[in-house]
Amino acid sequence: MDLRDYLWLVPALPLAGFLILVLLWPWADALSRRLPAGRGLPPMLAGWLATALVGAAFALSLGLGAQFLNAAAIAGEDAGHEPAEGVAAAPEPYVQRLWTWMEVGRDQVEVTAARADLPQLEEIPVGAVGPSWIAVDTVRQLNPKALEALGPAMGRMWQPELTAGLRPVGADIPAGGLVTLDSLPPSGDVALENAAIAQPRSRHRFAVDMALQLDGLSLLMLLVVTGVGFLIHLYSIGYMGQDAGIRRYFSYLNLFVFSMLMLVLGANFLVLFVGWELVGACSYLLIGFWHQDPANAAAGRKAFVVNRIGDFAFIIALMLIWSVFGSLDFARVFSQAENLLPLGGALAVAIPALLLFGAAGKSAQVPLYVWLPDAMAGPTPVSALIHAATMVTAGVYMSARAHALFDRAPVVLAAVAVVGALTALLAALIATVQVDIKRVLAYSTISQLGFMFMGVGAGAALAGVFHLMTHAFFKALLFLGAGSLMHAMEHGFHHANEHPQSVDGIPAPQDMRRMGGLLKRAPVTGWTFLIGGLALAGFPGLAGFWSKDEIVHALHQRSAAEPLFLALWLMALLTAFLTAYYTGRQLCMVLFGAPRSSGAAEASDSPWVMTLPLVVLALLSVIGWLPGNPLAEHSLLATYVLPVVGGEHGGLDAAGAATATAIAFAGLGLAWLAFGPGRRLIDADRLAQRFAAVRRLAWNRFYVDEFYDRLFVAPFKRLADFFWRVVDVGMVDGLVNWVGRLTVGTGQLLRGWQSGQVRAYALSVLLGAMVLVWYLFQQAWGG
Amino acid sequence: MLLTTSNALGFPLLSLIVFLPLVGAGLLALLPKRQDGLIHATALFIAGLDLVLALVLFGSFDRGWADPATQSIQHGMRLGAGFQFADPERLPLNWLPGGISYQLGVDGISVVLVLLTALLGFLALLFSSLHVGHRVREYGIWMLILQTGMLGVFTALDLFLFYVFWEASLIPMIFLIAIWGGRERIYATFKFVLYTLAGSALMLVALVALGQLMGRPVCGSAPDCHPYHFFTLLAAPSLPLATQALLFGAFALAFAVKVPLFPFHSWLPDAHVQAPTAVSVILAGVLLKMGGYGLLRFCLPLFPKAAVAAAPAFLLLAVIGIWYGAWVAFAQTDMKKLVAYSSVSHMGIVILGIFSFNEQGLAGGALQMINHGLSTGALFLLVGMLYERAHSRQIADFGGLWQVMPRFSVVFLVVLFSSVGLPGTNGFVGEWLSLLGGFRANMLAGGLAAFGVVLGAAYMLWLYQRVFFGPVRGKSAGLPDLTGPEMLTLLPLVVLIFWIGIYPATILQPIQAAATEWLTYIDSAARLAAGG
Repeated sequence: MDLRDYLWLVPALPLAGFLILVLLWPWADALSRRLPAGRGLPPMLAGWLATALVGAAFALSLGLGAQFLNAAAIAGEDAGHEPAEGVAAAPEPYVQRLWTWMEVGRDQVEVTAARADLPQLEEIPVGAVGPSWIAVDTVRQLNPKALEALGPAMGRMWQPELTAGLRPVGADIPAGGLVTLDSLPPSGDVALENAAIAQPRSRHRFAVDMALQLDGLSLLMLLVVTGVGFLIHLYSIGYMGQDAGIRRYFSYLNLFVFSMLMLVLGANFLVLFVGWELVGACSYLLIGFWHQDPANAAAGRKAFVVNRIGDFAFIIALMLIWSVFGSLDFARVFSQAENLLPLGGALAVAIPALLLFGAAGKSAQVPLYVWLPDAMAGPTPVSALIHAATMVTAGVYMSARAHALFDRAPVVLAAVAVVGALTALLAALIATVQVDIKRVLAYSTISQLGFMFMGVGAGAALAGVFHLMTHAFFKALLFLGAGSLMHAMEHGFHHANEHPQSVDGIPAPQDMRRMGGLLKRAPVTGWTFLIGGLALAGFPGLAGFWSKDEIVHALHQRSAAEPLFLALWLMALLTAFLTAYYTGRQLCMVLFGAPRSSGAAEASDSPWVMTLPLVVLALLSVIGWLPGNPLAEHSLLATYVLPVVGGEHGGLDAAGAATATAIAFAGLGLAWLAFGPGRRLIDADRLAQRFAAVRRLAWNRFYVDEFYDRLFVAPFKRLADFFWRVVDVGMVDGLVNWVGRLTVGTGQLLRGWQSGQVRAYALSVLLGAMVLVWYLFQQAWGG
Repeated sequence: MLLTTSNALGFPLLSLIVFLPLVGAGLLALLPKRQDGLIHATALFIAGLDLVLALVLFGSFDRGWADPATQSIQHGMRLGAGFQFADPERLPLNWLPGGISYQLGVDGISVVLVLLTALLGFLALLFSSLHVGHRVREYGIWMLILQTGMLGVFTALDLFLFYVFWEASLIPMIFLIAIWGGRERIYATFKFVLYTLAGSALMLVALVALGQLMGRPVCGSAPDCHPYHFFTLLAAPSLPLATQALLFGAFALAFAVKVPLFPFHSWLPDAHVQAPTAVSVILAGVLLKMGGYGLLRFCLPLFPKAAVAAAPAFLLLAVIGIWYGAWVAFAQTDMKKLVAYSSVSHMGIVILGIFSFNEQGLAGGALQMINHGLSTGALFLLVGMLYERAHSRQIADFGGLWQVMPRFSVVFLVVLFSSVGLPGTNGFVGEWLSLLGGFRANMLAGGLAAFGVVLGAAYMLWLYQRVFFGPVRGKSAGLPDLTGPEMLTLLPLVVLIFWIGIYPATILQPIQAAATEWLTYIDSAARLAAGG
């Protein structure tokens, strides 16, 4: 049985869950109430149903993975690879076409011009059926040399289409828009512009399929999304079990998993964009899940609108891609990128630059990262799933997927790395002073995403994807752990019969200043949280260590030749140090020392549905790096994902590993000395005083939100009011009313006619028109 | 140019669809005055029957024409300009002296508009049957007459006939707003009438000139000469640019007012706010489309060169409209006014698509007309349902509505997502195609228009947050959720929102086939006019 035939089922399962919960549930619930002694469906059933469906999707993904490896092995043998190494070749991407989504226009070669010295071209029938670029293909087959000449000219060739505005239908195209053989100079040195062989013009076919693609990269994402998704669903049963909106919660969560799967499975940019936007919508709904609190609703809206600013750039990138390639299919676009995008040309830069901006929105990078810290308003499992493990990594996934486009513009790749480095450093700085357990993790996520961008930008997309995977494990673990600890704290406060107030807007159960000693009170959560924290800090041997240092290594390798990358490498090292420091600080404040509130003192561990996922994720945080083992030459990632994301397989050297270890220990050590239990060798308060200015900036998040508010949001609102009250009501409408009054004023002279009734007006207008028409008819008839 | 008509049914289905509501109006007039239930039921029955007929029409519409394998030879042309279900089939009927003829027909674009009109007409009456209790018989009569007028506009093949239907749809509108409208209904009606009449008066003059200058020379004074028939005009040699420009201007103005294109939009917010809910639905859902349809069907093919020359101006106004409408919508305090301004923004996208002169734009613009009809129609219905409960449309009067009316909130959210063009809903397909078309025509215009996705999200989510989220406040408290009949009214719209979003081929296929063929015609006509 070819499991790939059921690829569609992977996203369909969570979608089915969503539909069942939204459409069938109320009906079934009402039905069960009518039964004798029926009390309606137990709300928890919704959670188990959703979890089971995501679990089924995970199982199917595992099956697909097994088959993938198997097929790879067979393909490897067939292709005659050296069996000694046991290396398999990555199978060809498998594309499952579901249905034609949009199709507009006919295939048609509108303009066929030719160099007169290429007589073979006469074989291309003018107006032949086939997309315009088919002509280019035909030319390639007929005369490879012609294409060589064409290559560099392609960029220019497209210019008329892209810039001429309406010229395609306009006047200045000779002979009905058809440049024929005759209209060209007969021989010899024809300028390349004139030699355009097939110029795509006003008649294009736009077609895009609902199609899914399975290759190494999407398989990896598939496993991460369904696997981590399943664990988080399971955890949510415990975490959200008492919430009144449990059905709504799980329906959103299922919808999210579906959307995320569409995003990673899409075989073309538009299906990717479907997932891209839908995960944004789910994020909007889940951030504002507890919408009774206006702050949560506002956070959700902020996330959606900021994301849409990125999406705006993304849409333009898609339109440009289609304009250049005549297609949005990954296969077509990536294979043609070298031919159609001249290195460093305007379009070659514009497309990836716009994609980068879109990615910055989704993956919370500078300058669009501001929504993510606020997104912590959602339930904690949501932060784990959407705002740490999966959705926010979509930008990294997309840039790795579209590396063929990014490769055409080294400057944009460098920009990716710069954006990543800036984000990583800025967010890490902010994280060092936060006292909200979730906020530290939120800024840490932004910072780690910056690391992934650095990897992609340094040309080591594989390292970025590797870090994406390990980060999904340990950051999901940390968020879930934080949720579990908050749960424990709430229990503790409840037990102590205390209802402490929020301080600085931070609810007591998530205020690290009130924690401490939780390792003893909630051992399973505590120990797993510790493992997650160490993995994040880059403790040698844990998952985060390998992937982060592969990125640092890639930056280091390029720093020898390029000063920019030297700077980025140093920034990455500094960020790594800060990461270890703030993580150590968090671990100390939360897990060690004496409890600093009754909540922490009376805390107890969470039930198994919550701790089991923690244990699994902790295990993955320890061994989850093995598929991407930088020391092995043929790790799974290097074999199957590298062909998709391109670039180098980074690896790791002893010096780099030693440096990374030293930095991790330095950061953790400093934190231990300042915040650890027992006698403190470093006074944290004096440390704070020394860096008071930086501290205040970081505490206030560098005033970026306030800056955006002043610069964009407030003027936008003021202008909206201005446009409405002054321009629309005042000017546009004022003019109309003035004309109206003028008319009425004139009409006063003919007052007898004015009955003031609309009916009469309408009637007289109609009569008048009829008289006029009759008159004209008579004229026409007679003449 | 080969133009054909056919009627596979051999049965005047179109005339039946168009005039059935009028007959129904006559029937209502015969009913006793006080029997509100009976009157509502009869009107609903007529509109429902009309909807069924429209579905039959849509179902038996021959899409095979769009298939390159079967098209052309069989019908002597490649689809598009070929009108199906022509009625009368071969030759137009002499109707009025002067060669004014009667013939109806639909191509791929008009057939979906007919369906939209029939659907929204039915849903509007369904809503009215629940909420209108004042002068019911008169109301039903005017609604049905309006229906005939609109259906006629989308099917008339003779331009004079088109004009008659165009004006015929105006008169019921006047009464519907002026009698059943809100507090400032008279002012709103005046404005609406003055605006529209100013436009259509010019159109009438241009129409007569067109017949005389363009149509008449084709066939002279032959008795079967129909100088106002669309086909006659299409067959005529093209006019000099200056004449084209004048006539184009006159037609385009009438259509632009109807669309409404910035800066001719200021009648819309007032008319919408004052009109009763069902009339707003029709106004936004169908009446505005008459403007877009007129531009697409008549202005582009008949004055190709002038249209091409004027396109940059239209693109500019479209982009301004998209930004401006969205921006002003953001500042609104009245929900209905907000939706009205959002219409200005959405119709800007339609105009952007139409004046991009390529397949994606044209098809996207036409599809966006349908989408806007569905989503804005639904929005007006929803706001109306809320108004019937709370007697307020002020955003500030509400808050936390999700906790009070969960079903209402979910439906509103779905429609909102459609309105902001979320993928998976119809809004995305139409918006994407229009933007792509606009982008191909003019990168700057397309790019600026694409920013509408941000603005749309901004004002819509801002509205949603204030009304549905937060603690329950103001008039929200204690409002009953949607009733069964109300859900039923909204159901078809919600289904279509997803259907068109996920599998658009059902209606995109005929639209794009027609758009592609018309584009071929416009393209060659423009070149001919350019002196080739």
